[in-house]
Amino acid sequence: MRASVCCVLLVACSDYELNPQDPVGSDPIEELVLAEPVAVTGPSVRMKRGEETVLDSSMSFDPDDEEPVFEYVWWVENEPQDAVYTLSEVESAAALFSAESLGVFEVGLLVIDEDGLESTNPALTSIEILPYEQMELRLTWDIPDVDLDLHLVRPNGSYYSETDDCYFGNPLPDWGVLGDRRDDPFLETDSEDGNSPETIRLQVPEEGVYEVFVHYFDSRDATQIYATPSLEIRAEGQVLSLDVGPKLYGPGKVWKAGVLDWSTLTWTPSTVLTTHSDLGGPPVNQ
Amino acid sequence: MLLLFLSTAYAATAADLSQSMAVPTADVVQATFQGHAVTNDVLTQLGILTPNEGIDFAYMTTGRVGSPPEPGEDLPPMGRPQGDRATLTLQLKVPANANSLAFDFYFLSAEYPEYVGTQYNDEFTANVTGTAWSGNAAQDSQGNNISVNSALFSVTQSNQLTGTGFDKGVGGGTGWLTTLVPANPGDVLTLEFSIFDASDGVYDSSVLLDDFYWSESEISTPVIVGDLDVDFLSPKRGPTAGGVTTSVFGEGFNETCTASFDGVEAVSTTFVDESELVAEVPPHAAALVDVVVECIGVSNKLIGGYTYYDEEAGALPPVIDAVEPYTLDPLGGELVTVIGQDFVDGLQLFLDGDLVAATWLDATRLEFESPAHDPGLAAIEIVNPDGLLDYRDGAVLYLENPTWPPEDTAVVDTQNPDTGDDGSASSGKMDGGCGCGAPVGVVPGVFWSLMFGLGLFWRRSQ
Repeated sequence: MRASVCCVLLVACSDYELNPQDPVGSDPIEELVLAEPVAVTGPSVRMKRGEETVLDSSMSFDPDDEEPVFEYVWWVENEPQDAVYTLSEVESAAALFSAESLGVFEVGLLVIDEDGLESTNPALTSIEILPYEQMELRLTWDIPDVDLDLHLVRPNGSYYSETDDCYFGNPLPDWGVLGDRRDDPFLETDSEDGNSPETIRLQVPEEGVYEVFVHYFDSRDATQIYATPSLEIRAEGQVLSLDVGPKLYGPGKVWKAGVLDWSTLTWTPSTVLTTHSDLGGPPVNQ
Repeated sequence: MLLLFLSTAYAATAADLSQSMAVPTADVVQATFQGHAVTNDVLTQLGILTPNEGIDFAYMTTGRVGSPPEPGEDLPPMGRPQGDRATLTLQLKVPANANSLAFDFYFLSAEYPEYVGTQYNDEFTANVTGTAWSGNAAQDSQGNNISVNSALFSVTQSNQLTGTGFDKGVGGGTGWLTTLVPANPGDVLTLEFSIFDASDGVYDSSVLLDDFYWSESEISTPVIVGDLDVDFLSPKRGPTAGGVTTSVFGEGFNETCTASFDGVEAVSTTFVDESELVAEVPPHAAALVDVVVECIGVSNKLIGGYTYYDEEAGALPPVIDAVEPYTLDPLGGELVTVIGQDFVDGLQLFLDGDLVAATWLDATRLEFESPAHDPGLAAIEIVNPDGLLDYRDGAVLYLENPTWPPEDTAVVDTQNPDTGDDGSASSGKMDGGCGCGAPVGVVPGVFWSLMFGLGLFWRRSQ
């Protein structure tokens, strides 16, 4: 493992011989300057809360050792306020990091070579913890020819609001960053007869508690009008919940289906029935 | 029974009746009346019923004007219906700009409810003879003549008939209905209004006639405009550009109906049947809008019936997925590639807040030459022309001696030794590790190879 050191030693000797102007009698062993190791980690990482990443130190090196053996020290240099996170294997070549808090973390790395020298260069991995993605709501109901409508109300929003509620009358509201489609919900399909699901998708939801409503909009010409809705909630491509709601007895009835806490992916279902007018909905369909 | 009956004349002439209906005198070729003189009049009011146009209307009955309709009066010849018929015939010259004519009628009958569905059901007819269309224009959608059996006979509440003589359970009526009849410009057509008893001469019926006018509406068959309802649209949403073909469902539609969206008339409205129209949606800004259907003489609004939305609203922001290489020389001058998504030509790249010239390659790649920077992490921000951006903390790491083995540095040292400000070898760059300032360009490579081999030999011998 000391081959290159030996080489340095020999080079130093030859250097001495090739440079007779150097002070006579200087000890080539004393002239040897051991180089500090260089810690390298990264590149930066983006991941969802709860995911785990392996921090890479494999690009670290020692200028005076082709096959260095390091000791490692990992630590969190910067973190969001009140952050909850885990950094483990902090003395290994590959530390493990995960966080439950959103924001940017910086994890530092220090390596120590066999000569006991520590790296002094900045070596940080920037880790950005992102919210969960891919919210999807699918509404179906059991009888044809009646029209039920799905409503997704953003955190602290209100039912039938032009800005807060994504529904048939407001199928593509601009939420989050103005003009950014990725954080806007979209009523992808507006089923008018129950033959296909009514679907709302939101790729990058802001964190918070969303409310979901099912509004019995119109019985149209149906002879059988009592409708039982079913609601599927998906997150990150996985089914979070599948609920069957209470029977809705006609236009104007509303099922307060539940609340979805996107920061924890927690769906709290409800069987509460109310009415469009009780929720402050404006006159529609009349 | 109190019969509120206000008459301007008694035993009016055919011309009087025509005038009370507001038929333009100049267009009347001939007007005649057949029946007992007591069976017609010009009225300004019948109970709570008032003219639809002007100050009066024509009134015809199967009994005697001013007499209670129940049990009614059987006019000669007694016991038979022949005497209980009143007919007003108008021969009219159709104006050059008219494609149809319209009139309002209100049929009342004491046969309701006792004789519904029997042979005693009195009728009102409006027979037309013309080149555009001939037949009885006063029929409901099922082809029934106007009687107590017609679907249009819908006014049966006493308070809707107060003072007419048909209130308090005596009978009922149709309400005011507008009838539209096809006509050919320049034609001379005959319009014959009749009301008559059936099977017997008692239990009288009456008809009010008013608000005649010529219309430009082009229709192929007569239309009776009754109640109009708009129930729903399907599809009920579409893009702001319009162009969607949507079905409007409801009741009481006819060929004269047009749909409008927030006051903007549909590009086209096609009559399918009494319960469906097909409309081509006009352009409109994103909004939930009301839909109005207007047919001749009637309209109805569906609040929040249709949604416009902008399919193109918003854009996808750029996303930085990776930067290659990750480690950069603090001296700068390296070609760096940013890999990601939705990069738009004309974007700007900032490195730690400083604008750096970048070359857009495609939606997923761009390049820039790294500027000089102190050792340490640097953030990269990409801003698309629309202002949407992605900011990546710690996207690159500026690092001296960024790689092992430091071949590129050795080449630099060989061809252009960097002595640095203090005259020493390039700081941190691999020069054999001795820091002794050897003139490596002078010493042949074979010499270094030899030295390295000796070193290995020495190590193995330990």
